[in-house]
Amino acid sequence: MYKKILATYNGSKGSKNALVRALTIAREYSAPVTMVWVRDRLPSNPLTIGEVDEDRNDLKEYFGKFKKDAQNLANQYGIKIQCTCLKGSVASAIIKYAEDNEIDLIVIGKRGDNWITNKLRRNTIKNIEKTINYDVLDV
Amino acid sequence: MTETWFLATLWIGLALIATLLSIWMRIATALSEIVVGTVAQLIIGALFSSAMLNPDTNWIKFLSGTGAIMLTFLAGAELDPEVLKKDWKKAGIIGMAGFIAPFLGCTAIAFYLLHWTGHSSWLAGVALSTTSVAVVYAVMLEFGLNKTQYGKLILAACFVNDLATVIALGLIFAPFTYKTAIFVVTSIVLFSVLPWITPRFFKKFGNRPSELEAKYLLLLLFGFGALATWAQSEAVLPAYMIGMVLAGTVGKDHALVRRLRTLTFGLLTPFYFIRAGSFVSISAIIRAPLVVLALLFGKMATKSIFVYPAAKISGNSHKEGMYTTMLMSTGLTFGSISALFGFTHGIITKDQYSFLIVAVVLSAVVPTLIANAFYLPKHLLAHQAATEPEEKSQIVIVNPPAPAERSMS
Repeated sequence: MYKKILATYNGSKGSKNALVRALTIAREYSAPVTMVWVRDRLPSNPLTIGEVDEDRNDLKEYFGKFKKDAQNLANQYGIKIQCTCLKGSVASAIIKYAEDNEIDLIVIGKRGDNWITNKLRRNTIKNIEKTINYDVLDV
Repeated sequence: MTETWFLATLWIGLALIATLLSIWMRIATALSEIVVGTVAQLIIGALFSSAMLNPDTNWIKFLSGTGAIMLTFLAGAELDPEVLKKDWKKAGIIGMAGFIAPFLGCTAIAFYLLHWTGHSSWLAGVALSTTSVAVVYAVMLEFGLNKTQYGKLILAACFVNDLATVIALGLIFAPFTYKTAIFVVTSIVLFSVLPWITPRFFKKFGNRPSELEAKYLLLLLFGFGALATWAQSEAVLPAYMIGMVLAGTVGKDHALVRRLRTLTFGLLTPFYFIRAGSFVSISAIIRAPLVVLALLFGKMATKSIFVYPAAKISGNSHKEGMYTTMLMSTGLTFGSISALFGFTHGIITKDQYSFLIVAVVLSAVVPTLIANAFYLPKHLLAHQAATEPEEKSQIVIVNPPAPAERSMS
């Protein structure tokens, strides 16, 4: 039923659960999994070029950690996954990626680590569900 | 001493609040520091005493001034000399257009439309002629344009623009006396030998925990700052020039630059921006918000009138030209330094300072929003994507087991 699965991941417990669920479903359908991390844009009003470069390197390092986590988890399921870093607004970035890559299932962690991220995640899920015609599994 | 420690606690507390706000609200720390300075002065003034924040205390003025000098030095040191050498003609045309147009245009708006005095109008022109090199770089980096010839040209043009602003600030309001002559001659002589002496001195005595490099640079900056202010000029002028002449040496030492940046952003620039914010009069802004808009749109319009044609002459398309124009309409560091210089030297009033600072802060935000919304040169991004290799891992599914339990919400 599912040919391509996308899971969002940002290191939180909720997103880890989502990734595990995505990997479980991927095993069942022999479907490839893409892990996606949506990062903020680089600082919009930096004072120096070095500040921008440092932030960019920090973001790369951050993504590297998530990639490693995701790959370790995927190895436990015997699956190699594709890891991609997107940028901008979470819902828009996920929707665009899903549309461009013909994703069938998007798995998102519903619960963040605190009440702010919970609210953001619920809003993200609502925005995605409103816009696209794919299945969305919120975990 | 107790009073000093208390005051220091208050200011660093405000700096910490500003940093947290910038993280939560995802805005630049400099902007949040200006806002915190403005609000803190208002609240503390209302609840306790307007003198409690004491932004004119000597040691606060010293730290704030050093912050401005260090920031300017770091900005100058980030110049890429190779790029400027390669495209100096085109960069010169666009950069000077980016300076002259808003400098003259905003001066005219302040003088004829807002009826400011001559000197105040010139100061407004200088403050609004700036371009934020770092903002342009960040936007270019985000979209991969920094690697294109177009992106490198625009960055070089921004340096030229800012150099013109700093020179204008340093020389327009300085009375031309023997002191100015001594300052200029000494600067020329020392700037020509610095690129030769500095790397040799660092190689012989540097690279130790005692941070000789930082002390050497501070010696230069403080010494030239003293010479500049003695000549009734502005200390940031030699700071920027020192940064530029040492860009090929000190600027390439990323570890040193990082340590200097830690000192600057961790201790010095909060004092600068909070102090800048503390002088803003909110009542002035509320009374005359159209003045702010006139200055902001004056900057953007004058940049458009001259930078756009200059960008087109240099071979850019309409979208690229407008994108260039909007990006070069940004400006925070030198704009706020110019405005604060004007206020502390009595060239502009507190109200005029407030209008200028708010216009400068808005110029750091509004043009980039417009540029990215309407004029993003996507064809350059497509070309860039086609020439860059993808960094994706392979997808392999190995030995899928029996169907797992599933449930959908």
